[in-house]
Amino acid sequence: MAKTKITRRRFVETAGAAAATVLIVPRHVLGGPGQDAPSDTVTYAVIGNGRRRDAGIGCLGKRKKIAVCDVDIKHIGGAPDNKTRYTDYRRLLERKDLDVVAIGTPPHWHALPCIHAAQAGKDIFCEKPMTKFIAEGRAVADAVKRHGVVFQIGTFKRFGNARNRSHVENHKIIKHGLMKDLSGTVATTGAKNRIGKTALPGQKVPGNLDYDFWLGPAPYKPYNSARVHYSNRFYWDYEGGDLTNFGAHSFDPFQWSYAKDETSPVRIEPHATWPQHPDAVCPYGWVELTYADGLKVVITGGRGGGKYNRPRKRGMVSAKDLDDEGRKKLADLPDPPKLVTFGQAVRTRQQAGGGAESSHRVSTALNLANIAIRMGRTIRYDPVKEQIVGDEEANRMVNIPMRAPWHL
Amino acid sequence: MKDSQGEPSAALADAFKKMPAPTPQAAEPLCKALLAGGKKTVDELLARVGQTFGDADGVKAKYALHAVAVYSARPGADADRTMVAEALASRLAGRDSKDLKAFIVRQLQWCGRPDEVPALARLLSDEVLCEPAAQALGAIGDAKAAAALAAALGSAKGKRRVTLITALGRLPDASALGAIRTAARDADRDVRLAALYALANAGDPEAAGICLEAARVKAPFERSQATDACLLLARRLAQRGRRREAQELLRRLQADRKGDADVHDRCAILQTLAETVGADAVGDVMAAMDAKDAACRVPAARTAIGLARSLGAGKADARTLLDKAVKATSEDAVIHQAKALLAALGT
Repeated sequence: MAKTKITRRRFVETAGAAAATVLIVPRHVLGGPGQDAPSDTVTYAVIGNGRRRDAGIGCLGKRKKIAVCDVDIKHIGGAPDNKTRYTDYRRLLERKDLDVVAIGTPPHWHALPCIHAAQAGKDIFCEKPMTKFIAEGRAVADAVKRHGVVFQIGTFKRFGNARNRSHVENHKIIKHGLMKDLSGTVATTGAKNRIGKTALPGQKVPGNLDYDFWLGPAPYKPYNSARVHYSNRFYWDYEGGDLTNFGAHSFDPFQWSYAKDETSPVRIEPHATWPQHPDAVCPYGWVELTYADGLKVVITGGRGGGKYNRPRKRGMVSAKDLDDEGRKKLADLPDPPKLVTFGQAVRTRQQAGGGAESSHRVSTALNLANIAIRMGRTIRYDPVKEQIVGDEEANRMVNIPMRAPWHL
Repeated sequence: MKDSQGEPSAALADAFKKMPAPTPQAAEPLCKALLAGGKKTVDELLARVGQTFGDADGVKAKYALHAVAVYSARPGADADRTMVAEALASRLAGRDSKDLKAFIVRQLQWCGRPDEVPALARLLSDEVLCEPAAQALGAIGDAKAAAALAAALGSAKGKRRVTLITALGRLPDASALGAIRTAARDADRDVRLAALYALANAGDPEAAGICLEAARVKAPFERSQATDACLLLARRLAQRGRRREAQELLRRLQADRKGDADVHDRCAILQTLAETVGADAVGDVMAAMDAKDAACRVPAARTAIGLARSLGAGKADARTLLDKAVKATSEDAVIHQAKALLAALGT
């Protein structure tokens, strides 16, 4: 058979007449206006092939994994061949046959692979928490938007909330300002509260691990096995402890339900042990995050800081909280747009339901909680300028310099 | 705890016993007591950290030093911050290990002020300490810090050169631009890419040709980084009022990105045109919404929403963009936004 360059469009036109050959073609070649893209196989690769790997990638639908990448060659089954096994994700991103990357690296290595993937035209599935510090999240969201790629965060409870009538009603009332003052409305959630070890002696770097690349943008500190491979979660240089790790799972659906996907809290009050260790994550009791309209979200870790016992009128709002005029307005409002799954988004080029902007705002709220914990004081935040207000030291944690050659 | 310098003072002993405290409020009297002892107490604390650095025993001393650094930089406490930052900086001139100095530098990353720049700058010539010092200077982030980085660049080689150029990318200094333009053609890829970023973020008007040339290379990762440098440079030029130059740069990049594989770059150029030249981009956005390729058309509809919003009420172009966006995509969220904006514009 003569070799012909097969594009996806040509595949669609000839599929009815052609035989059963399965073709994998670049996903960016799609059907015309008003037509859904044909269902076909999307290629993906994993960046960070350790514990999480591509655990959440089922949302992509029909797919084929074509490569893995990790700086620990034990995680990729041996030395790199730059065909199916990579140790440098930048080389992986050069592949023309790659549609999607699934990023399962530690959080200090989320932002840059996301940004570089967007710049290479690849769609992105990224494990939570989205980023380690706030400015990273803005850079990722901007890169995704700029390059027109699809982003999905690795947590999905918001999809369930978006199908639940109580949450939809809550969302509509708040989104459309039917209740301008939400004082007394308090959403609470818990997150685990595991901590790091405060004295880590230097150890010999194992031969299978490129520790310099593993550190990447994080500050240099001598290798210790506690810093890598799961327990990295409990060190400030790589993640924000369970508050960001598990907090993302509950904060993300909250943020949708309370229509806060495009803003951030303005006041963050911590109750935690203090000082926090400069290297290792330490226990926290609770953090209260307040939005401009009075809504509060409280994250409880249950270790220190006393119990949260402030007055609370309600968890969610409903039509019962409105007057007659408000209820009439509510009845006339359309439901919010449906959330698009990652698989649908990749094939239609729409934004996925757990997109970059909303995920950045989730990560921002959780990072603000940790900044307040580390500072040991209440901080105030400007959600438009995305800066901490009136506290220059705390504001330095919004955009932390990276170790060269890495930068945002 | 090792005790080669005798018993700690009362304030230190109390802090070591009680830190970390269950709340910041419980820790505050401990911090006040440490600060009340002035530089003498902070020096004593630094000595304790130095003695026990790397030991499991040293944890309490590190807690206390970190507490003092963070607490002293709280709003409205200038005198405390001055005292602590000066004490930390003066320790850097001593003969402590590099690991300890790096730890001290990281405390200055939070509480250091422009007055500490000279002490940090002296570390830029050290192969190990250059990186943490550059990060601390980046956090201090003022013109003095930028000037220190620029001054150190001239003699730097190897990894230090990459570190300094990257730091100057975050914190531009006009005096370094000449050296960085040269670095943009260096044999070392890390140097080249750091230089392109630095020139772009500085909004260097002389960098357009350099960035465009770099964006034509075949190596895909380098090409994508150089493309991003072009986009960043355009945004910075526009922010500085040089819209014509921004547009020219983007048009030249657009001419180089016509291939099938360049669709994501074309989206980015379109989005950047909309951000930087506003109404002059309307024709491009309208044309992109006619594209058969959904990878171009659907993001263009989102760009149209943003552009219409920035053009504002009373502009016919805004309504035209929104009307077309509604037809160009089946994306529910975009259609919602377009209709809401049309309603707000009074149509």
